[in-house]
Amino acid sequence: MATRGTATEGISLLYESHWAGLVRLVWLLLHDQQAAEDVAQDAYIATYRNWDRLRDEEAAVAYLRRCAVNGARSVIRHLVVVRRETQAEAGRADAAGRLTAPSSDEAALLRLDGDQLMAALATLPDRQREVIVLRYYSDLSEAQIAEALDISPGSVKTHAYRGLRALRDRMEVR
Amino acid sequence: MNDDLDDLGQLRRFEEGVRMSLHDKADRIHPEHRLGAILESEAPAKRRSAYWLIGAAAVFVLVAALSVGYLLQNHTTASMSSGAAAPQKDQAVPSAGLTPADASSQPERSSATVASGSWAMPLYEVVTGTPTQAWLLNRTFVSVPDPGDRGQRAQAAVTALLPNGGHTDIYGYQQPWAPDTTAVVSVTDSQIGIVLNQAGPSGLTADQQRIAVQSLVWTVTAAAQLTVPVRVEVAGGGGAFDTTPAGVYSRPDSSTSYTDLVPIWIDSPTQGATVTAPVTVTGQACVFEAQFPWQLLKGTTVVASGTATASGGCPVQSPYSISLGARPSGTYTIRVQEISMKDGSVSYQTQVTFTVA
Repeated sequence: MATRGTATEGISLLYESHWAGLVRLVWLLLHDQQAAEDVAQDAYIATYRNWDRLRDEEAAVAYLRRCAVNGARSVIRHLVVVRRETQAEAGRADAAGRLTAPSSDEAALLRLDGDQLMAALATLPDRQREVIVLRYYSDLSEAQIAEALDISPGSVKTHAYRGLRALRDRMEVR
Repeated sequence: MNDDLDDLGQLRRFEEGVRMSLHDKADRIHPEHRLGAILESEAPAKRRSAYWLIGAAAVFVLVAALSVGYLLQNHTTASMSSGAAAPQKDQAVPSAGLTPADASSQPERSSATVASGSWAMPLYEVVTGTPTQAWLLNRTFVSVPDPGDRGQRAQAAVTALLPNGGHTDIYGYQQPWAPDTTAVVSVTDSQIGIVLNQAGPSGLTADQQRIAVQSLVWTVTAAAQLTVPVRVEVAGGGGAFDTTPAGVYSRPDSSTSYTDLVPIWIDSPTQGATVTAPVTVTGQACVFEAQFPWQLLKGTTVVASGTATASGGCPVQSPYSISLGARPSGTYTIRVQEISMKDGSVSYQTQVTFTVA
């Protein structure tokens, strides 16, 4: 998208409009603020470096988001062993797998426990977790999610439906 | 059929709950700003290719310098009683410490992150403040060999902050602690402990004492990357200063951090850095109406000036960026100032000297 001067201004504007949201998006995938900031920073650096190849702001945002999700997935792969150890230390009573007793109190359906939701989210397969976060936090369309994850819109629907059901099944709704 | 419809209805309500809860949890995250590190890290590929020879030479020099510096640094470190790394003269902006990207889909990492084994150590150093507050904290980053885990990083940063740690020669620097002050740092998930070998000197005002303690708090939490309370104690008991007791201290929240931090700081260029044109100055500001003047000096001559605008106004710090454009080679000083809304006087200023290659 043109010169370095334009790139610097462009990435600065992109930073102002998307930095906090992108860190929060990655945080929802990783539950680690420093790691989320590192991943988001790397995504911005990658976008800055490739600025000349991005056709417009929309493409830059899509590229940024894609780098961030890929970065988060890679971190999860690296940390999977650590996470297992942490869960073991946390004890069975707190493990996400035990939170499987849904309530029938429909009047309180919207009052989800955020901590339980985060714990349940962490147990989902990568794709389902990513689709859930991009859809319900970033409010992206199916097409945008498909582009960010490099999958088909049909797969987005499938992951969203399965992920949502799995979340509900694993959560204790108060 | 009815069961399916009921299930669909419940799932839609559950969707709304998920949406609300995700926003509720995520919106509590207030990320640190890293625009300076991003802009300093890399130029777009098209421009970079034109300067690949210069870049290669710079990388060669950097690697050589780091190698020599690392050897010297290790020698210095080994002789320090705390085992913490002392700062180098050169400063650096922080770089990501992870390798998160899929190799297939993400471009190669920036040169700023290639120097494996080094760490951009955050220091919140005491500097001359404003007419209403004598001392405030200015953030700088100092490149050191990575001490290791978060506990070792926290120890290294606190040691660097104390008189024998070697200060970073920043504008308005103040050293609140007595010579030969040392500290032992311990880090857990819920609290950080700092035990000083002696109390701070007498004669400081209550607010100066507070800022000195907050300097430890901001630095150690940034180094450990933990937002937890910090217990500050003195070996053998007693207060941290005359009228500042030992106890648990924390960073203020972001809406009142101006009580601890300078109104404007410069993230990049860093003090003494060598940069290539075009030059962009970045940093954080918390000033009235988000606007403040800047001047670019060559020696004592102002060669450019203007007004910068941060992305938001006080009380929260917000990033700003100043494009200086292409500048002839030479040494320059960028000066930024906060103007008093009461009488138009300069209430605070800071500056950084850098070289355009």
